[in-house]
Amino acid sequence: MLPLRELQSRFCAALFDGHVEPMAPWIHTGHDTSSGPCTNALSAQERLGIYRNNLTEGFAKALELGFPVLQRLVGKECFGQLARAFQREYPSRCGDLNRIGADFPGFLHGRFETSEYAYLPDVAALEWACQQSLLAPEIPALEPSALRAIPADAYGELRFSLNPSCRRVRSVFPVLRIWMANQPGAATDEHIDLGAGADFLLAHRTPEGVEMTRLSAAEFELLEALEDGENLSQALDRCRALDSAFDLGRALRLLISRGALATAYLPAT
Amino acid sequence: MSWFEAHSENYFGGTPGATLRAIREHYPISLHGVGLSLGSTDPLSEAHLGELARLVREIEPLRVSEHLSWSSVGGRYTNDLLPLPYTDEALRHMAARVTAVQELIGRQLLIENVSSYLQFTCSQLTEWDFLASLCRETGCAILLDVNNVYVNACNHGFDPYTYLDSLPVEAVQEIHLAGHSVNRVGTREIRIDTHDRPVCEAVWHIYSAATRRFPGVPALIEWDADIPSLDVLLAEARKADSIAEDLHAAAA
Repeated sequence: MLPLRELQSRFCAALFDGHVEPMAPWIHTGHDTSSGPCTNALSAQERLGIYRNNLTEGFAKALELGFPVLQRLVGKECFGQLARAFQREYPSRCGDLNRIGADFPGFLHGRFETSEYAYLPDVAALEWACQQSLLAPEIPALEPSALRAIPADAYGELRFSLNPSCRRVRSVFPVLRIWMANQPGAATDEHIDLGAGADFLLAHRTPEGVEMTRLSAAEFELLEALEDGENLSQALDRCRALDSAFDLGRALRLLISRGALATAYLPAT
Repeated sequence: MSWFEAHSENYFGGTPGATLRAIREHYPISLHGVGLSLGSTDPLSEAHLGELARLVREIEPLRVSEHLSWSSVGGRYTNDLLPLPYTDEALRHMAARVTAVQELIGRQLLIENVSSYLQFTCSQLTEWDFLASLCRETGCAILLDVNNVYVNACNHGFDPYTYLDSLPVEAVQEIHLAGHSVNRVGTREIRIDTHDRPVCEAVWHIYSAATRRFPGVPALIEWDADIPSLDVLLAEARKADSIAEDLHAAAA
């Protein structure tokens, strides 16, 4: 008798690592039928092969759903190879297939960082940001009126919590144009100059889906500073270091209009 | 349509359930989980259970179901429904886990039989005896997947009607129907649960027998790959209804 724990460990070793031999003796290879020859006397290897195939196919399909632009860019076959390599390094760690892509941009970064395809990890990061935005909890966005209750001399002390349905993505490549040119129905022959400039993007959820807003470097810095827990005064210093003419009021209005902020609070006195 | 079914995991992580909530205002909902890994010897995922409990509180579903299977060990997830060996040890283990989940969510669970492509030499019980014993020991109910019964009957060589006749009548509370494919390996064949085509004739026959043995049990068509037009789906659902209704009419 094989204890359940041992059986499951051997089964997974066969599926993930190809170690079929320790599992094989515990698997029936066929069955006797009274009505004629046995039609399905498959070997243990063949039976385990069905589950191994399900494992790689299921993982690749789930990844495809989350990264359709990347798949379009590299092609179905290459995407399948990347998915298999990614699964070997980062097997699923939870029962929810919606979560398996978290490490995919980082994995691609390791592969393509120094290649001519260095934009691919950033495209993947943008697609993951879209997924995260769609799957984030529903949290009411900060109303502009909430700020009116705050005395003007306390603004510098103000801190914000960010709305989890808003995600930041930055890239030295024009990833938004790449992303848009590879949406279903987009023209396929657009030429995109990879040197056309960096992108500072905010992905945010609307009732119709995820929308992208292009930010300036300083606006992006503001979002990052607020997420780091800086107060408005500290955040403003960081933004002004990038852009001496930075307009804080305008940037805050933009973030609020996109629902990027959730709550505003002053330190307890 | 009289009720809707949703995969529980699709509404985890605080994912907006506006559509699900809108449906819930007008129809009962059955929450069908695929990722709990009930039969695994790893500890139950507290995060997964917490999400499920939250969703059950929010949606107040008519039924909550999971599978007679496992999907992970040592923290690695196959995200597949893997078969259990039908041993006394596995039965005790599964019963303890089903009981733990039922206590945590404060609800009876329905446990669904899965398609399988192998059997373990160490199994001591048949699948139907294992499932019936699980119901007795935990008070759980059964989500009977008629297609999975047929697929396993073909793959492993048993009589699907024996399976049906061995299940406690009152335990079966939902039925699933689906299409499957036949994979040929040389001259040999094995049936794979694919949910990508119409229900086959043999499965309709077994379903007809199931509606006699388990009258009034709601049925659902699972078609989640190569999804056809709504007309085709509705025609399948109507066929299931008409088989159940013919029986009702014959009995009246």
